[in-house]
Amino acid sequence: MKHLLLILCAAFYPLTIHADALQFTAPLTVTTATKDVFIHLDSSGRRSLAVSDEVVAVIWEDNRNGKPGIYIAYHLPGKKTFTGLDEISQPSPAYEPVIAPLAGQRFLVAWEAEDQVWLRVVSPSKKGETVAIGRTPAKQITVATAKGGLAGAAWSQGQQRDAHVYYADITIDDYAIEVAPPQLVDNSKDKDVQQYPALALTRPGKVIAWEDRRQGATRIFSAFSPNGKAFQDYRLLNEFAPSPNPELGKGSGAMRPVLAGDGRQTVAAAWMDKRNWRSGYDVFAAVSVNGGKKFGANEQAQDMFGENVPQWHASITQSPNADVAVVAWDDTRNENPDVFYSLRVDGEWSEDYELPGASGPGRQSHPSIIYDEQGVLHAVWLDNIEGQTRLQYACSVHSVQ
Amino acid sequence: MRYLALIFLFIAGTAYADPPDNYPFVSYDAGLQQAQQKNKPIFVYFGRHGCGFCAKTNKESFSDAELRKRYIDNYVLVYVDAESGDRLTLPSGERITEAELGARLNVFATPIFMYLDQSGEVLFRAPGFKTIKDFVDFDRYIQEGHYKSKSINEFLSM
Repeated sequence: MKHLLLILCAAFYPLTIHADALQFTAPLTVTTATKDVFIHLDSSGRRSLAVSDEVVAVIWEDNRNGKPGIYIAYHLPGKKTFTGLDEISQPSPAYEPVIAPLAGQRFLVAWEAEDQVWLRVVSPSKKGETVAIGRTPAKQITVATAKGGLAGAAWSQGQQRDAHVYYADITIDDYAIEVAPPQLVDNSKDKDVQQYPALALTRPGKVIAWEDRRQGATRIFSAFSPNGKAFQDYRLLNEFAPSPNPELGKGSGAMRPVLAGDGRQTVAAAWMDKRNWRSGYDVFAAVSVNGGKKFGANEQAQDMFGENVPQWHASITQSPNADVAVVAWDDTRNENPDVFYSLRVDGEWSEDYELPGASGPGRQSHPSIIYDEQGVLHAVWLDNIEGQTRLQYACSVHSVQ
Repeated sequence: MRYLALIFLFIAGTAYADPPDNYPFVSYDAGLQQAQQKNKPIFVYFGRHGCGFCAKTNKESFSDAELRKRYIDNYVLVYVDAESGDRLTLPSGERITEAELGARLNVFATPIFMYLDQSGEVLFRAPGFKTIKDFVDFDRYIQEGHYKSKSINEFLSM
């Protein structure tokens, strides 16, 4: 029974690395909502689930207690259902939670409340103290962890055009959190609005990608910090379609970057990109093989059948050995929103596949995906049928190593 | 003067606020409330930072004084930044971001102009650059009630 989840999710033999559709378990319901309760899976970096020592944790925001609050539910080894939910935020309205795994079935979680961003270590059996990070006003926090006890957080801090991305190293001792002095990620003088950071920790350092408005259109920038050193100059991540008439706007926009690292040298980035603006946002991606110092050329992640409709809510993850990157999103090519994903194997993106259980009647949207250390792909998404929303989960039945 | 014009162009080109100047645009949720109070329909302008055709519309259409007066008189004016993380409250009580509102209303490109009734129901949407005449026609389509019985194309071909 101890390994029932693994038996359900992965058949103990590695999947041959190719770009065929993955097989998934039947969906499990994480939580349901009743009338006037609105579940949200939104966060900077789209990190809504994590896996630690066979425990799957899903985090979200909803208003079931009369105001937006942060909730978590766990899937424990050997159990057929998720645990009941646990509210982990303070009594004030809270938004946009994120989660990253720690050792020993613990998780680092973060969210936004009271114009501040907050951290906490939680597990199915215990919750640590809630710790504020940075200064007010702050928003859109994201967190990342890596082997060896590494942890970090990035967020947007400041008012309007003075909102800039900050980073802090985090030290965790059991359930206690110590936050190092925050660093301004971009020290250049021409800063404008910076928001929605994504973060990955790698062997050579850490990399942050964010939305940046300094060039007159929203673009995606990235910056790399070698171990023990400050962040270096930013780089442009999204290639850009300039306006045909520079007097009339600056050009194509991009938004909501997400990052996935393997903890070593490979980092995969994705974002929504409007360079093909007639059909709205597409999902574009880029891969770094030097720990995030520099990314390769932009790649369109979705296939031609998705080009006629906009893509939304892109999430990205990498297999433990970085052989496979997966991007998931939702779009309306089948009329109602469904969740699709594409796999990057040997530098090529596959055709788009519907995520089983996250397509068909109703509106399935807002996916968040993560590979665990065993190479099992886990996914959560929103499923809205006739106005009632539930939070669904599934995982791949094979693993990649 | 030439340099002043260049400076003006630079400032205009890097302006943070993307709705046209001197229009009383408000947020989506504030607009829904005002529409109920004033018993007016709602005009929603979905734009984004750096949007070329938004700038063209602002420069060539919304700069017209008569159009400005017509729209201020006839509508509650709402601007939504389709990339923004600013939060708003829907009539249902749900809190979402401006970007999420755009996703739900399939704002696949900007600008998109939407005409809503006082309850927030979408009556008509017009994507892309629009001329002064377009906006005047759209206003007649809404204000004269043609939307109740005709498509916009049927109305325009009358």
